[in-house]
Amino acid sequence: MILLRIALRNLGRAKTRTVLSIISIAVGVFVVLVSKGFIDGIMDQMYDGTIRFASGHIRIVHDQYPAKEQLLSLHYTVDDDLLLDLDEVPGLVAVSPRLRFGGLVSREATTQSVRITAIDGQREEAMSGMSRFLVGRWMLPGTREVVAGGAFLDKAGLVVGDRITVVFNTAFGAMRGITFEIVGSLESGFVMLDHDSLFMDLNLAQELLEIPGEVTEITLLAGQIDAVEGLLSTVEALVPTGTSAIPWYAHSEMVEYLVVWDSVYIFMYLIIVGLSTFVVINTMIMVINERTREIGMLSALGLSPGQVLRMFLWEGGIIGITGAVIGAIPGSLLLLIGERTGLELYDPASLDAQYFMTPKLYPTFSTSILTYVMILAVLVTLFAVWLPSRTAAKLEPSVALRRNG
Amino acid sequence: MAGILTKLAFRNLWRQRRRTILTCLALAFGIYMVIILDSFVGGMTEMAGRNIVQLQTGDVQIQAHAYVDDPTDRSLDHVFAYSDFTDDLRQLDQVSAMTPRLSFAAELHNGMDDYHVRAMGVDPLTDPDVFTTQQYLAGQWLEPGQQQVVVGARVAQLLDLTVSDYVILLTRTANNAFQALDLEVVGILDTPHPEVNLAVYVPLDMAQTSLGLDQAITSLHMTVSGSAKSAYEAISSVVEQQNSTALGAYTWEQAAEDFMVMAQSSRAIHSMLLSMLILIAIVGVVNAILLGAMERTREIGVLKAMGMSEREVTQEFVTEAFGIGFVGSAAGVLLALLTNWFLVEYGINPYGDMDLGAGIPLRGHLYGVWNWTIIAGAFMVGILASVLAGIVPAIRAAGKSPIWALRQ
Amino acid sequence: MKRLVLLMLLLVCNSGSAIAETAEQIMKMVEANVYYGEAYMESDMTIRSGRREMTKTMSIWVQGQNALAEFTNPADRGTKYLKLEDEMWIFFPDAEDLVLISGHMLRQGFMGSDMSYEDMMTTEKLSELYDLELESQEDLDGRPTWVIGATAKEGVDVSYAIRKMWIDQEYHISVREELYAVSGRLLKVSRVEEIDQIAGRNYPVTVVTEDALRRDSSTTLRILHIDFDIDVADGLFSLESLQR
Repeated sequence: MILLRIALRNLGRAKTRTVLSIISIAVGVFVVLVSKGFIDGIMDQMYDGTIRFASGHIRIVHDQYPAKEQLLSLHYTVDDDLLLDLDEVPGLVAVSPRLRFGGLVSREATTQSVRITAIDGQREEAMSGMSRFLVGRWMLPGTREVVAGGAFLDKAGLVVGDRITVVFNTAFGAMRGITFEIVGSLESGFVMLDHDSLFMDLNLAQELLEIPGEVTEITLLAGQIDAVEGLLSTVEALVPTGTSAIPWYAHSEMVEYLVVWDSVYIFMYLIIVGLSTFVVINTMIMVINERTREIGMLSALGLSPGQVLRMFLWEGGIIGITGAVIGAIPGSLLLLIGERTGLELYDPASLDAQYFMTPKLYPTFSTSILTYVMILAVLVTLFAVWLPSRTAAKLEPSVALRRNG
Repeated sequence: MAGILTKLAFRNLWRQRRRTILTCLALAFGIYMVIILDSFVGGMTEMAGRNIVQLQTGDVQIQAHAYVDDPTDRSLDHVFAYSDFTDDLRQLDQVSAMTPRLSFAAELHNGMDDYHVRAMGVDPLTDPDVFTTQQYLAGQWLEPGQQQVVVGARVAQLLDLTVSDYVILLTRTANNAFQALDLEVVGILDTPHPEVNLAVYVPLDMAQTSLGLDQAITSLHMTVSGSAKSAYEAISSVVEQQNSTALGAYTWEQAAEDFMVMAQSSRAIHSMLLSMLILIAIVGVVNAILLGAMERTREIGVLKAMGMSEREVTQEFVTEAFGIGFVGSAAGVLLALLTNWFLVEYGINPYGDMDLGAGIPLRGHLYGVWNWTIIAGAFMVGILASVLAGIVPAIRAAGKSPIWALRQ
Repeated sequence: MKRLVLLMLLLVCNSGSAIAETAEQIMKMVEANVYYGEAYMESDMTIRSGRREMTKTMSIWVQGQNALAEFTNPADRGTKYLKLEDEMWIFFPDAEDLVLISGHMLRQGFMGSDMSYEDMMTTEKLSELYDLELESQEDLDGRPTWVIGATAKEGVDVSYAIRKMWIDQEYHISVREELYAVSGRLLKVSRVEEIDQIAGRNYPVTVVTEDALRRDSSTTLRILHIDFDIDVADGLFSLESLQR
């Protein structure tokens, strides 16, 4: 404990040195934390959007469906009996059937096309948690109610509570028109959800489209993204012939693009981590080198090299933890505030619906990353202290004392 | 005196070369990374932009406002006869090449399945003057007037087509009559632009005859030389002279607005990450210089005891800091220039043959770009931060009495 | 010599009584048979598309350029289509507003069948839209027919630039029709499977239409009842009556 006391006294004595070390660590932690928060924010947003609203971790579709998907064809469907089997698969946290089809909203002799997604409310909530974007309420099963994209309503001059007539073709191509009440609107920021989209109850849609028991796809969400590979074979064994189970990474070219984009960000992140580490180590080396004389003195006073090393490690540990905490506070605050408000990236009106990107960037704050960054910072500091002090502690006191310090 | 101070400063830097090198290295690495990453990101954006220009839009295109306002409009309602323009456009020095295209909606049938595609009538002779489409071609290019089609790789994959297969292209003529063309697949296009891989190309003259369109097209694409802005203005005025309010000239940036939005937002994120990088690099340099100066408080005492004025002491320290800043920044910039020269000249192929997609034309050989603002800026900031970091402890230490400084 | 010429002429006329008809004359006879000023009919339509099959039944009133169709099968019961000259309005029992079908939708399949709305709702006479030519005479299913080629008139908007019709020489009914693209590629084939005598006219009562580009796709239209002598109630062909 005496070593800890010496360490503390040393830190207090050389205030500027201590402050500079702490600053380098704090800025390092801040920079790494914020970069990671932003990178994860944008990637999560894109992956998450794609996975939750489009691909699932695994998506079960008719073999021919991907080629006809653009047209929102109802000719290549999957039997929803499969749901019961899938519910038994351990490791899946959500199994959500979707029936997607196109329609027209007719108002006073003008028509506007919409994409309609029919969902099973509870299952879909587990899949995409869409309720967080909902203003108003979800449609009740068996009622002629829809939830519409917020931007779509704005464009059409409609509000929740209005009634709209939707015209669509049944699976047999019969045209049908039905008036629905709008009971909720989605304000997700995702162009794909807010523009030109309507949501209705699955059973109702199956009945209206004359395909009871059929859906265009079943999306699955695994508890862990790493578990997808293992689950894929289980799921493949369950699906009938003529039906495919497609993992998220094979969903579309968009996902492949995301993977590449991700690797670019990871590269930049690694460079930021590398430079931060370098700066911390560099600073610590300079600080210790400056104190070679002091080490000689301590050795001359009878401290063993091991004791000197430990004393320095105490110092390093204290500096590391202090710096990590000081860097983590503004970093976390920035991310937490960013998570709420978001940063505007572009004008929402100008982007095509194919991108699962919101016009605002929401950085993410995660305690596990915070912990990891802080632990990393302390470890790097300890390493940075250990490296020069080990050599210094081994020096003969006379040599160390003679060093210019 | 200034000469002696500079000499002194450099001798000191040399004496403490390990510290000097480490500090310079931190600075150089930071500057190097900022420049290279910026070049990389700029190169990526430029590559995507280049793919759009070379495969989709050309530098400037003339087309109906209606198609730009509503990109889902695939009707033939807004075609125009381009012979009205060609003479005037040829008069323009800025226009170095032009080619017409006719875009129309169609269904491609292979006898088993059908797939909705965007069909494009292209002039087989002039299209290569503006577009690089042919570079990505497996098989033959189109011949004028022939019943031939070149299909995008994705379409070929979905309909299981290979070269020399026959397909039926079903569409509507300008009079809304069905038109079904039996075409031979002569080539398959696998380009870095996903939208191209989803399209099919047919000879323009054959398409015009088949659709009942006499010489009409949906867009005229041009390659321009010199200033893009003046070329655009010149082309715009030609269009205006024709008094056709329905038509307009569009730069590729205007024509590919979606892409520009994506580029803009990814640029914002990259700037954020770069500024983080700059921040930590500055902290590294400032720390190193501050520590270096503090380490030598004793030395300051000696200098002052030897009769050096405060101003001279400060000056000496600032010169040292400048030296570090200059050497570090210069090393970083030089190394970056070298690397970037390689990136710009030879480029790298980071993604191999991976097919990227979703409207973002990214695949291909990635080249760096020269962004002199960033290069000069990084150099200046490196030196400025070092000098500022040197001034503070120097002034503080210089103000102390020699005795105090010596006792430290 | 003169007599010989006269005789020859007579012979020619007699033996070629059919050939002597011009395409226009033949079409007039067909149109006289098929087109009507006013009519009421009940029919059903069976749509096959891949593994799916569905039958729809409807009642149709026709008067000149206007037509009203009301579906009677359970799935579509109450849905009414009203064609007023060039406009098509739809009344859905479950919708609060009438829906106006725009031009491009008109060209799509009619209730999912291989016939387009245009095919169904074209009330103009073919002879007004096409240039006709008598190409040959053929025996089809053992019955003599005239084969008439129809080419769209310049500047006329029609879906099929070329049609080829086999007209039964006795019944004056087009018993087989091939619809072609501008290029001459066959797109659709329809054939009459049953002809019945209705109110003194021969009328095709079962027609099967197939898409030549898609496999496993056909539509069978059967006329169960037809009445040419009807009183059309005032205001039947109006938006007001549609919503009643």
